[in-house]
Amino acid sequence: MTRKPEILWPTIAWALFLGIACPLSLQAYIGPGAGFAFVSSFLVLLLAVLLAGFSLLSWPLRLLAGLFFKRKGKGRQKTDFSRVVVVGFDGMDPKLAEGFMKEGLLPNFQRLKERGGFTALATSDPAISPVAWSSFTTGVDASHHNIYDFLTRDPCTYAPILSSAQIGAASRVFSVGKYLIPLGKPRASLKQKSKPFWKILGERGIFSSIIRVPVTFPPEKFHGVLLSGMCTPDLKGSQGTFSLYTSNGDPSGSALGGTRYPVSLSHNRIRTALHGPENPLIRDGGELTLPMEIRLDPSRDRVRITVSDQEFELQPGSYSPWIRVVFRPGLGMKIHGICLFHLNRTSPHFELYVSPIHIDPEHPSLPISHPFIYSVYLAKLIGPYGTLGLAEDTWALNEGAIDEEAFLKQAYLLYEEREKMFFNVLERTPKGVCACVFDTTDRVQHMFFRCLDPDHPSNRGKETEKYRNVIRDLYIRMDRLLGRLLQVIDDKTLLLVISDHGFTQFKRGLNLNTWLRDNGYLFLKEGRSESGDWLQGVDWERTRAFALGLTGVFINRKGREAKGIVEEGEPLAALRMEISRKLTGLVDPETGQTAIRRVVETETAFSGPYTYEAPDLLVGYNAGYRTSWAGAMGRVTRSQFEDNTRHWSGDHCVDPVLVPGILFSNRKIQRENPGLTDIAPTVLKALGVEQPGHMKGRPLI
Amino acid sequence: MELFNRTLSLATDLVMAPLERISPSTSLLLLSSALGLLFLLVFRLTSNQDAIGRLRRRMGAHLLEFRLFQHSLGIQWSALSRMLLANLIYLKYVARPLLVMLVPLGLVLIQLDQWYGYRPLKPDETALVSLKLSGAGDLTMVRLQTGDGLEPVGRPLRSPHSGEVNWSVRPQRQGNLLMTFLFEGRQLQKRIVISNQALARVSAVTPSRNFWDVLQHPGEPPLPPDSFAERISVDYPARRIDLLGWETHWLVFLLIVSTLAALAFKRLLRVQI
Repeated sequence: MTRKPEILWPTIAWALFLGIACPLSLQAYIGPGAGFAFVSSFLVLLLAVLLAGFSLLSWPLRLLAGLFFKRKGKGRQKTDFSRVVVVGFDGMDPKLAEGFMKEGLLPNFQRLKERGGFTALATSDPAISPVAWSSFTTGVDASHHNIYDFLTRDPCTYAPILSSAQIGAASRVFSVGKYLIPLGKPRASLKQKSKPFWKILGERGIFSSIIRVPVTFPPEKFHGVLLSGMCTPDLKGSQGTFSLYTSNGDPSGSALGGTRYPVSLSHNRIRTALHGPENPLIRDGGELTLPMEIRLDPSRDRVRITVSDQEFELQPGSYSPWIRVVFRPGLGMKIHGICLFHLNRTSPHFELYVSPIHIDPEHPSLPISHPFIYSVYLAKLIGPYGTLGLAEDTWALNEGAIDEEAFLKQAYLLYEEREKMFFNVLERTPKGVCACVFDTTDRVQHMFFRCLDPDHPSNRGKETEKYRNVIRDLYIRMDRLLGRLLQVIDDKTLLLVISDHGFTQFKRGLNLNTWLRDNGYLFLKEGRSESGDWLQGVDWERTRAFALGLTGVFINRKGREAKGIVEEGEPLAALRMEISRKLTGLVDPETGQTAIRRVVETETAFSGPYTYEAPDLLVGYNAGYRTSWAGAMGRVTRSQFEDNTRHWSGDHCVDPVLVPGILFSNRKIQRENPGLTDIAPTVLKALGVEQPGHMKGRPLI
Repeated sequence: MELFNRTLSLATDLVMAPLERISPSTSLLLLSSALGLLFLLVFRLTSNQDAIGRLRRRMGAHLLEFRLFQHSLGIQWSALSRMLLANLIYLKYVARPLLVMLVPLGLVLIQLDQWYGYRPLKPDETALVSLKLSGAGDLTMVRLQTGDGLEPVGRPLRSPHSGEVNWSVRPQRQGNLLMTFLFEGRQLQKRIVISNQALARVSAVTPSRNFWDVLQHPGEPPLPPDSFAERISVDYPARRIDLLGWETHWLVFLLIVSTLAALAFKRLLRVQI
């Protein structure tokens, strides 16, 4: 609220009068006010002058260093471009884009198409975001960059593990009583192989700004700045765990991607706790929690929440801003996080959603940017922002922890943060590469694709008409961003607008593990007809194949898996071929449609060095099909096929031919049938850097 | 105004009473810390805390920008200019609390100046006493009468150009001793403070009836309306305050300590400065 000027101006006038008429008063006015002004203002001025001096004096040295870098390697050819801008719209579909362009809804995309070019962009195999973006980054296929899915299995335990990164506690700890004092930082390493194009550019002295490109956690050193994207964990170390506080009387427990906590009201007051990460300092210390008090004001239909020394008010259907929370495991250590609160309802029962606790970018407990201070810089500049890899909480909508409205609000809140970041970075990257990936397109399409198909099983019991235009509006919003971008780029900038894959309906799910069991490849332990999550209850002594992840089938290979039984050589090849043959063209008995179009044998289809640990078979589903929810969780169920009735109704984990991405450029695209692996060579060529021999793609300009 | 000054002086004397026996450095340390905290609270109430917070974070960001974009002189200089611009905007935000505090803090500092600006004379310590005539007159007719315990040293020095007469006096004992000034059958009085005590209120000047003069010298009533003198002053020795072995002016001491106290408590009191 602004203060009334009628108080301010007489005060100013009085002070000036006093100052002129009574100099002693001003002379005497050397109190904390002057101190603040000195500390906060004069010191900044002094610092600015010192920095300016340093900047000028060190410039010749830096110039020489830059020249040295440029001379390193094979040098650089002169080109028409001083900058390449890559905008990634995750999951933007070429068919939808073309349709909306024809309707005149995307004037800026249309303009870009006419000025340069537009084509479908072949995606990776499998067509999954971390795989596809890794191919974009490195210019090679999965067998060269080693990312085949979000998850893979630990060959020693068959348990699921992240494909992209390995995160663990510090390697050495000092044990004092109940405390485990880490003697170093938590370990985090990137499992992606090959070399991102920005590293190659950096070796030639070309600066890159990389914002939220997937599979960049943990960030690696290079000449530029980078903010990690998809696969960055939350504060719990998971890929996103929301909390739902409800007085509905539902039993507490874990939902997919979240935890429900029952609460009870006493005199319009709820005392509960915000659940954070495991205590890293105490052996079996359990979860760190923060006391949380919620006071209901029924007369105003509002609640007041007090947590982590902060107090804020919420009304039903509204989000809080990012709330900073600080967990204190002990010994003066602090773990900083940020989260959003959304009050779902106060009646007939109370329900509060808390987003996954993101790593606080201003006080990151794990490195989420390169240099480390880059996330801090962005947070200071634009305020707190979501850092979780899959920041838009699709699980919460899927599990009914939030409704469609709340999901869309959250998705666009995150989008706006990204947009601010992108234009900031663009301004600070006048030369080199500026690449930014927007995830909103992927997440919103996943959750609302059902609205494009009236017969989608997911529409049952859900509002559809109201959300019919959500995807259209999403594309229009991206078009507006493009329009803003086109205004600020010059002729020496190569603009590439890409997506990693397209989209299709996900109406029916196939549980591959159930199919493998029904066909005698997977066995459960005696007396069991279904398995638990993540293949618990599978009899590994007899199982020859199992599925894990979204498209992969692993053969239980002797020497590779801990309890492998299939011999290498002929038995392996025969089994692979047998399963592949049976799965290809598999028909859904209920609909009569083909569920699987093709199956790829990894070792024969790929030539890279990382095929041994990969899934042995990659399943290419038909449009409308995908691995079932139970199958994705590694569960063996009774039936092979099931309707998908969840909000997550669109997908792309199908035969890659069915879901190409998009490529728009402000220059003519000179090659037919371009693919994601062509983007890195294109960027290199545009900036005059020779393409390394290991890159499989070819330049498009 | 006289009533206002008397009230304020009385309040100050009450606050200072328990501090008279302790060393000036310690008492000023306590007062400066309290002032720093008071200012901090006023700052929080009168400033736009959200805007200041955002601005300070932005200034921090521009500083980091300098480190992050070392490869580009253009970006570095643009960061510097943004930082300076943010600094100017910051001054705008700070102006309101500074202006709000200007008058009350000014009055408090004027009061404190009477305690910390000068120290009382000690027995056998010589001081200069001055009287300025309000109009033209024969300076030789101005005389100083000192009572028991105070004696003039030498002859008075008369300056016809400025209309001033100066006496050198030497006290012989402690106390609030009275000096009487005589001129053409009229008389004026002023007290002079002689004390070995660490802290005492000292009024160096008996002000004229001018508003600003009265405001700045609240320790005693102004001269009467028909007074023959425009101003009477005693040249007390200036007090220096010990700040970790550095003898400094009390205002410098107050500036440093109050600022440090405010900075120390800003996090606890959740104030963005």
